[in-house]
Amino acid sequence: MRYYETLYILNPDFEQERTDSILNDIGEHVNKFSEVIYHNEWGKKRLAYPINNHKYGTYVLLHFETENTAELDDFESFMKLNNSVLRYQNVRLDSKPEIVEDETKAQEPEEKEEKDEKEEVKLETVEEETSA
Amino acid sequence: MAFVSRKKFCYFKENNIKEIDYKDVKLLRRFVTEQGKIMPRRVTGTSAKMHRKLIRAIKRARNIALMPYTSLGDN
Repeated sequence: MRYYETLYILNPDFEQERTDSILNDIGEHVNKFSEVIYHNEWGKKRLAYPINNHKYGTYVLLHFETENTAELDDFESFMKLNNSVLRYQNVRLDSKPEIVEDETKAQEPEEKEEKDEKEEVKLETVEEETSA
Repeated sequence: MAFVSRKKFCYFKENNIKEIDYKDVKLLRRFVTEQGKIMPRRVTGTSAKMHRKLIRAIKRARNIALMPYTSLGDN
């Protein structure tokens, strides 16, 4: 068995319902040729650089295992043609992925703190400008 | 000015990290400059083996917009 990990970014402007239905679509497509191990939303995150003029994106992490490698090309083209997917990345894993749920949860609050710090810094600079 | 030498060490060997995950942005941030460039081995002291893995992880993170290719022009 080969294990794969796909991280993809969905359009952040969609409502939760639409995001869920896209998740379902992709999940079904992957299920046709493989076994989904893990498929879950990371949530909305700021992109390091804008993609198609989007500053934010909804990250989704997908783990699956398959031996049917020929179908992978099909999956990649499916992702490429899917307009709601801003970007995707398919990576082969050396070993069976561990359950990542705790990890992502642990990471999120830290990043939020970082964001807050940045905002504070911005506020300070604004204040300085106004006082000067 | 006296010449001050600092002992270099490989962060990954020191912390017994075997594989680098491209999703671990917090870790990867330590090995890029403010501009987002990958720092050279002579600066970070990373072992050659881990530096190759590090490079791959950073490039993957860049591709999926977890890290910037460059932070110039952000404003």
